[in-house]
Amino acid sequence: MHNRNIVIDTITKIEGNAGLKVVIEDETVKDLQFIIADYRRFFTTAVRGRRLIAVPSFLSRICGTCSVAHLFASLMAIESAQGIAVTEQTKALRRLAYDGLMIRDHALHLYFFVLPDILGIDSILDITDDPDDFAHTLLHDSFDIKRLGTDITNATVGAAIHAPWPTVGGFLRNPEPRKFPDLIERLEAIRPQVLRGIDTFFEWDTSLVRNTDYLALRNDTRFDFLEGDVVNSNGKRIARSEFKNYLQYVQIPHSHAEGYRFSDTQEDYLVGALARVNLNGELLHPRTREDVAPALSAFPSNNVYHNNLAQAIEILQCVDDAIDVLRIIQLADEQPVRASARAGTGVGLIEAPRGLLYHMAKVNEQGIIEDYDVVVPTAQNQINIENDLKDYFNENLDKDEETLRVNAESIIRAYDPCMSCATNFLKIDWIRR
Amino acid sequence: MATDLFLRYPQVVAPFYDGRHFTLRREALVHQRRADPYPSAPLFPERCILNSERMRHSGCSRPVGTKSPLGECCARLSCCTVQADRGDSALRGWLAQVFSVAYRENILYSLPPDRMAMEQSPHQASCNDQPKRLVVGWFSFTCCEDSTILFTELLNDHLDKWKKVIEFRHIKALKTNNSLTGLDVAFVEGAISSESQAKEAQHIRENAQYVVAIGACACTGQPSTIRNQFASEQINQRIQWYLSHFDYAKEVKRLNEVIHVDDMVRGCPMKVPSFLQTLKKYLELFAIDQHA
Repeated sequence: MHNRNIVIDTITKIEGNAGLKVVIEDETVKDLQFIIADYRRFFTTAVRGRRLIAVPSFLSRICGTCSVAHLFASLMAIESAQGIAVTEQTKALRRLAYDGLMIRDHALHLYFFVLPDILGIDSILDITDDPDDFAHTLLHDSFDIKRLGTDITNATVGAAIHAPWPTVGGFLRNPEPRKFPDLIERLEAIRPQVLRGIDTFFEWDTSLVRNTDYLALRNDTRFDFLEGDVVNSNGKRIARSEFKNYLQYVQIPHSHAEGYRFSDTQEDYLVGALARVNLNGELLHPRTREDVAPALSAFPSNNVYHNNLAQAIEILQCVDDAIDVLRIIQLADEQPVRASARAGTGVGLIEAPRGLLYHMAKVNEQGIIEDYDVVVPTAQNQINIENDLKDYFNENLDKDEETLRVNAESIIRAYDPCMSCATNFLKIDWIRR
Repeated sequence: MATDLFLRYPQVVAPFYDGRHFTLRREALVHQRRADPYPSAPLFPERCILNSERMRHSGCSRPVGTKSPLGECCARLSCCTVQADRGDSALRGWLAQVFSVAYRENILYSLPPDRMAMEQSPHQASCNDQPKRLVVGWFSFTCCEDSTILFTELLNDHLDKWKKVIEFRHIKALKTNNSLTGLDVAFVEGAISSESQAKEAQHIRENAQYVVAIGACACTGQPSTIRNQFASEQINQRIQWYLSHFDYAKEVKRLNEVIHVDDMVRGCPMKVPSFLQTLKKYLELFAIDQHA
């Protein structure tokens, strides 16, 4: 009998705090705990009793890296509850800001967190200053890509983090169109650098394959992060207002964040870029599809490391989509669409960088929030992450402990988990494991 | 006597040597006091740092008054710079004596190589032939980590030059091999939600000469302290389960309610000009050549 414990107190190069504990008995994984260790702030409780107009900006503070996603999901939930239909201009500007968010957020994850795994180094801080070093080139590509994503979001919504211009019904202030031509030029110029990154992640020969279900938003007309219904691998289609009814909440005793199962299949499932490209790959922008055809041939994929490749492809998708939006948009001097407060419940369901993000707002006739609910991607992926890791450890227990640690961290990192998001909510329907 | 002290308690008084500075641990001082070789030592500092470069230059043969980069001065029985920020001059003098003897006797200069490897990232180890860099740690507690994200954005424009003047010794967002030892400045983001977080913050304080609170949650507590205002009826069964199942403190606190904070960079997220100004201040304070 050979018993041992493997403990990683702190998983690094992710957003937030998480750990891993593995109990091995008789060379079998007896117990594995992926521990989300960020403390909860109970924001969904805190917004009850607040006026609806103040809520989206407050809830953008759920997460520093995808604050725009929480802001938009909250705006859409409240607008739905109030029966507010925003203008096409507002939709286009949100789409543009979201392209910027995805470009910056994915690039941060891929180049700052994952690239060191590919290079076999600890950190981007260890990359040399030699301009002829390919790692140096990739790192500086990431600076350009991230900067461009941030600049797009800044120009569209006022700031890439906790954006001040979007409000219920539209925008408090319209962007300045004089900034758009320069952005188009930079977007065109960045494509070769983005393609270099896609090649790098495509050529990274590593895999962890496990059959799982995938869930993503689908708009049949284009690759869309903000509009559509939820679909899964079996072709099940769910309206956004019904999505929450399909989730089974799972309380996880060792984690500050909840987990979920998809009740239609009673199985774990994955959300995020891998799910999106698996389910919607044929809807990618024509330029993107043409230029990344070899990498796209890897999809649909059950290799969790391909979540990284899918993110790299989505960067190009967002570059090409942003060029389209910037070329056609004609800004009018619009005011936000307002309506008298009414009682109602609304859902905002969008694709955050890490996957499906659900906001539900219940508002009373005075415009006060009576109930609020949020389901974030990392919480949805939590059970899937644990099951992937169990498979990995059971199949690789002959490897030395350091290899196991490094690979376990890189599997977790492939999901791009965000603990800040994962620890702000409380859900219903308790099922004790 | 000092030599004897080191010989008797090498495991606890062994200072950490990073190539330029000796750092004597607080635990070591507490142990020393209990061991009572110097009962007159009045107060124990949070940290004591001896500038070994100046020790070498002065030859350890005569007392000199040396102004340290931090403005502390020690002129008693010493040829080295001592910074002991909560001790009085007698303690600083005593420490200076201890370390000057340690230096002269050629003992206890550095940790064994394997211990050094644990204390320092192999990628970040200091070298004597390199100019001094500001040793920085970046930490996050309860918050949305917006300032960390903003910091990674600043790296787009600043990383190349910051690598020349800053050693990022602890930054979990960017590296796995982290060390808390011998930090010049710790930048701390987030509010404190639990006793374990408070202890971690105190540990950071003990290992850093200066602590800078970063962003609204660290500086003001808001919005992470929002649960402090919950009425009892808002603490429903589900919230109560989390509060009791994990080590949540009764109240969330801003950083300076838990540890002493030297500077604040406010904003949600942090204001970039304020952060850059603060960083510049510490680069100058530690006499870092910013044109290196």
